[in-house]
Amino acid sequence: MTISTDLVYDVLRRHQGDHVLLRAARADAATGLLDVRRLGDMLSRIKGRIVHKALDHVSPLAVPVMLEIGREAVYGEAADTLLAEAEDELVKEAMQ
Amino acid sequence: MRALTPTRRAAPAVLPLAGGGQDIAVAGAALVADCAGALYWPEERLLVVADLHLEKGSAFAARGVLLPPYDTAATLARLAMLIERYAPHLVIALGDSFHDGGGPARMSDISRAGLKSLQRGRDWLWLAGNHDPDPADNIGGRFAEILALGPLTFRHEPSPHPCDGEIAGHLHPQARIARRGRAVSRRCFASDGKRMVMPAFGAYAGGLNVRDRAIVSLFDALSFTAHMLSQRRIYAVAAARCLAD
Repeated sequence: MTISTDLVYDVLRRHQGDHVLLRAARADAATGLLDVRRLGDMLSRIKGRIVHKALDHVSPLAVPVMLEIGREAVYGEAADTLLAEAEDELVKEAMQ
Repeated sequence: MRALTPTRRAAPAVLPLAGGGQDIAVAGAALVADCAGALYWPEERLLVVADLHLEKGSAFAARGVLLPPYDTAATLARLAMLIERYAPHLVIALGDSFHDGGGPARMSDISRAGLKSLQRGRDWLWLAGNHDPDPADNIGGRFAEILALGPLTFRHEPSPHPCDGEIAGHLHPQARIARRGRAVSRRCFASDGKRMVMPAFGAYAGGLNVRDRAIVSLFDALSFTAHMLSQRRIYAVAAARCLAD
């Protein structure tokens, strides 16, 4: 049998948020994907000293981030857009 | 059971809550397909759900496959929202309501009380499925193999022959489309206006692609529509536009 890990994740999160699997997943994500502790340390270090400035060109430190655009999908409303497009084709075909 | 138990894939994670409905006529009966995966027949105040597979988590746990045991609670909670929305006079569970014969006995007291409270003030009919062919104790409701009502016939497993007005479950249809380089898979109602196969409602139930022969063979080739479930509404996509796995 196959079971979607997303499904297990959702069900656990709703009913047993402190489950060991969820804690392990969070710990993994906090070190494997992004070093959350280092990020947290840095944010505390620079607190109150952040200057926000809109640039008219890409800054050198932004280049790695810009290169990541489009490589990670965030699942949300986009799926509905695709479904709506597929549905429209049915309607168009029927009207022909 | 027929020898067409094809491989089911893991179901998409998105399990919509009761909400947007789409009008669908089957054999002349005006029905509403709810995006939570249930069917409502306003004229009869009748709500239909298929393949709840309650206690699937505990069935697997007994065999050493450990899944979070909350599937029954999750499924009943979604069903409760539908019942609140439609206030049906009759609820039909279209078979495979429990994942196995021992399911009703394993149900927790809380789930059982939840189920009983959903049944209060309305009729409840358990149709026999291949996972739960026999009536069970202490789950309320009445039991039957099949129910004919007006132009419609409700049963678990679709008949292999053309069958106008049949509303069945068993096959857990899901459809897949791809646009702009991305594929989207959703549970769906499969219908050609003459008969219908309902999506599985259970939290842990898997899905079978509508392009599988087991589903296509029920209809006149690809002349049916996959009514795909999403969070807020249902999208009707021609089966010919859906992708095989």
